Amino acid sequence: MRIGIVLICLTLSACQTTHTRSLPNAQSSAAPFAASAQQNLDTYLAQALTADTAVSIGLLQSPDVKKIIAELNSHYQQAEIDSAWPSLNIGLKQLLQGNSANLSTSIELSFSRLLWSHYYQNIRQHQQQQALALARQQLLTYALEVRQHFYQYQNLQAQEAGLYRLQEASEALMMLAQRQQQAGNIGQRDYDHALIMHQKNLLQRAENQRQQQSLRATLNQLLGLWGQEADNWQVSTQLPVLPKQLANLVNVEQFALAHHPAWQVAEQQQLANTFQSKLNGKQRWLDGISVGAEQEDNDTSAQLGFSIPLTGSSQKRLTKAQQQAILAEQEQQTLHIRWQTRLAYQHWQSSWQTAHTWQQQLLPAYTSIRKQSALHYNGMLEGLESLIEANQQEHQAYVDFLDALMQFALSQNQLEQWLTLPIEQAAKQMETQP
Amino acid sequence: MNRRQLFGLGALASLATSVNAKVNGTARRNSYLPVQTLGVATAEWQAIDGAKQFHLIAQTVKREFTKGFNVNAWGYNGSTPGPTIEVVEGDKVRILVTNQLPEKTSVHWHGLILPNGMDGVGGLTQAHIPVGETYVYEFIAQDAGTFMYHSHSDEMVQIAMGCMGMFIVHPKNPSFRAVDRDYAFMLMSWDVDAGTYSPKPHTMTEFNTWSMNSLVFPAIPHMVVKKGERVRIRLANLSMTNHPIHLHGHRFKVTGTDGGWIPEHAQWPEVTTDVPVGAIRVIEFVADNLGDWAFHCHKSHHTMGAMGHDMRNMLGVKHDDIAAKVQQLMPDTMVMAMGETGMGEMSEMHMHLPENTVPMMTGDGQYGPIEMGGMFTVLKVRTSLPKDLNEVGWYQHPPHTLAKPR
Repeated sequence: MRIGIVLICLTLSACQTTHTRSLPNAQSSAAPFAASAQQNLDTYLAQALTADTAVSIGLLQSPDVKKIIAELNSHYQQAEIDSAWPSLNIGLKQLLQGNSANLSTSIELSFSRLLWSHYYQNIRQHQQQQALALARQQLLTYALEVRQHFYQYQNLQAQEAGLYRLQEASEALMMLAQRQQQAGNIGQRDYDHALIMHQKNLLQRAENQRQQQSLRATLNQLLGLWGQEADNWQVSTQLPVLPKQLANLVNVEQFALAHHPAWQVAEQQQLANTFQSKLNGKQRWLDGISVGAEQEDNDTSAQLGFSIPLTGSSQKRLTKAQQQAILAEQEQQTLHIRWQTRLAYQHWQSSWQTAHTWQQQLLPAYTSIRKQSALHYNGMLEGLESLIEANQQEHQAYVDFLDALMQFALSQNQLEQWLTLPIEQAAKQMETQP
Repeated sequence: MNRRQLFGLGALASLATSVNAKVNGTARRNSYLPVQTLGVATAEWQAIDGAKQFHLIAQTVKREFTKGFNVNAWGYNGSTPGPTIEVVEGDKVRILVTNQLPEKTSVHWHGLILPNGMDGVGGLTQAHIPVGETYVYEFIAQDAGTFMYHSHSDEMVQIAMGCMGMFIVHPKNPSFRAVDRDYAFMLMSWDVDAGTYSPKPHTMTEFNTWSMNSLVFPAIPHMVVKKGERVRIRLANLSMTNHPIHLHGHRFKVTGTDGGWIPEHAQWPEVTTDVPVGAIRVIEFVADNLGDWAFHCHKSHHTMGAMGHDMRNMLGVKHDDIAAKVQQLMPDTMVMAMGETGMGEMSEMHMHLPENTVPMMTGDGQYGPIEMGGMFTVLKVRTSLPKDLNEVGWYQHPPHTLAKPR
C-alpha cells in the first residue's frame, strides 16, 4: 500500500508578475453633486452647510464611502487574481512506502490560463468595470441620500421660524380669548377652541424639533461625523432655488440609460459572462495543460498533463442558462432605469408645478387675504381674531410652500441621480449630444 | 350732453321752488310746488296727445352713495331711485318703459288706482317686458297723493338692485294742504360686501347699507328751510325692514300714506314715525325751531356704515398689548386695539379700509365727529337763507344755549 501525503504545496500566481492596474477614482462619480472646490473637513464645517458641501464632507469622511471604495478595491484585486497566469505549483512530497520514507520534489506549471489568456483578460476587465460601475452607482445613491436628508433637515429648520410665528399668533388668540372670557364676552367653549389651537401649535413645533433631531442624527451618521464636529455645524438658510421655468428635457430615459452606472453594471456583467461562456466553450475540450518535473532521490522525471473535463455538455447548458439569466437581468435593469427615470422626470415636473403654484399664486393670495383682513379689521368689519387667523393661514401657507419646495428639491435630486448630473449640465449635454 | 348730465341738471333744477317742463317743446311753469327728491332728478315729460308722456328706461346704473362708495345698481334713466314722476290730479299719464336690463321687467305703480291691465304685475296683469322692448302704460292720475313705482318682475332681485322711484300726484287745487317745502325720500336697504360694488339681492336680513334716495350719510343733502315755513317730508320704504324715522326739535303729524291723505282730525303729534315695508308716510310740520336738527332712522344700526355683526364683543377687553404682539407678526400692517371702551373712536381714526367701503361711522360737525352713517341727514332751520342753500353753514348757537363743560 502506498500512501502519499502532501506536506507542502505552494501555488504562486502570475499576478505577482503582471503589473497591478491603478484604481480609478470612483468618487468622481459623485463629484457633480459635491462642492466644486475641494477643501478639508474643518473648512467645510466652518461654513453653513449646503447640500453640495454635505456631500463633499461625506466623500471625505463617511465610512459608507470608505466601504464602497474598499469594496471596489477588493473587487479589483480579486479580478486580478482570478485572471493571473500561469500557475506555478511547487510541491514537496514524502511518500511512505512500507518502512521507508522517500522525499520527492516537484514543480508544475499550469498553462490553462496562458492558453485562454485573451478570455481571462477580458473577463477581468469587465469584472473590474462592473465593480467600478457598481461603486459609482453606490456613490450616486449615497450622494442622493445625503442630499435628501439635507433638504429635509433644511426644510424643517426653515419651517421652524414659520411655526414659531404660528405659535405666537395662537398665543395671542388664546390671550385674547382669555380676556374676552374674563370680561364676560365669550363662553368657555370659545376659550377652549383658542386653547386647543394654541396647544396644537405647540405640539406641531415640538414635532418639528423631534424630526430635526432625527434627521441631524441620520445626517451625522451618513457624513461620518461625531463629537463637536457633529454638534456644531449649521445649515445654510439659502433654500433650494425654484426655477422660473423648467428645462425641456428630451429623451431623458435614453440619457439615463447611456449614463447611469446601474445599466453599466448589468452591461459589464453580461460582457464578462459572454467571455466566460466562450472560455467555457474552449475549455470544454481542453481545460488545461501543465508541464512539470519531479525529482525523487536521484531520479528526475518530466511530466506533461492534459486536463479534459468530463462534464462538457452539462457545463454548456449551465453557461447558457446563466447567460439567459444575465440577459434577462439586463433587460430588467433597462426597463427599471427607463421607467424610474420617466417617473422621476414626471415627478420633477409636477412637483415644480406644485411649488410654483404655491410661490406664485397661493402665497401672494394668502398675503393679500391677510392684508385685506387688516383693512376689514380697521373698519370693524371683522374682529381681531379674524385678523390673527388670516395671519396664521399666511404662516401656515408659507410652511406648506416650504414643503412643496422641498418636494421639488427631492424630486430634482432623484432625477439628477438617474441622469448622473445636475439638471443644467444634463440639459446642456442633451442639447449638444441628442 | 349725455343722459346723465341731463338728469344731473334735472336734479339741480328740482332744488328750485318751481321747475320748467317741456310741453310740446315749449317751456311752461308748473302750477304746483315741485317735490325735492334730494339727490334725485325729476322726470321730464312732454305733452303728447293730451297726456303727460314720460319715458323710463330700466337699465343698469352706477350710483355714488357717498364719496368713495359706488354701487353697481339697477334703476331708471341712469339713476336709482329713478327720476321722480310728478303729475297733477286728473292728468292723463302715459309712461313708456323701455327695458335695457339684462332680463325682462315690468313696472308697478304702487298706490295708484288705475285699470288692472296698467298695474304692472308681470305675468298677472301684463306680459313681462322683454329685454330691448318698450311697453306703454296709460292711465288717469285719479287721486292726489304720494306713491311709488317699482319693478314687479323678478321683484326680489330688481327692487334689491334699485328699480324704484317716487310718483307724486299733486292736488288739482294748489292751495290744498299747501306747504313751503316738499321733500321726498326713498328708504332702502342694501347688502354690499366690503370691497365690492354689487348689492347681493338674495340677502333677506343682514343688510349693511341703509340709504335715503340711494345716498348715505354724509352724502344725503341737508334740508334747508326758513323759520316758520311749513315743511312736508314724504317717506317711502322699499327696504326689507321698517324704519322709525325721527326728527329732532319739532313735532310733526303724519298727514298721508300711500293710501291717501289722512283727515286732520285723525292726525296726532309725533317726533318719530315708523315707515313700514312697502309703505309711505307723509309728515308735515312747521319749522319753528332754529338750529341744525338731526333727521334719521332710529334703528341705530341703520345710521351706521358697513360694519361686522359676527365679531366678538371687545368691550372691557384690554388688548393693546395683544394688538402690539400681532403687529409684530405683520410688520407691514398697522394693528391697533379697538373697541375696548366703545366704538366712537372709530370716527376719529381715519384708517385704511377695503376699497369702495365707507367707515362704519363718519361725518364731522362743527363740534367734532358726528359718528353716524346710513340714514341720517340734517334739517337746518334759519331765520334767513343764503342765495345758495349749500352755503348755509352750521348753526351758530346764541349765547348760553350750548351745552358746555361744567
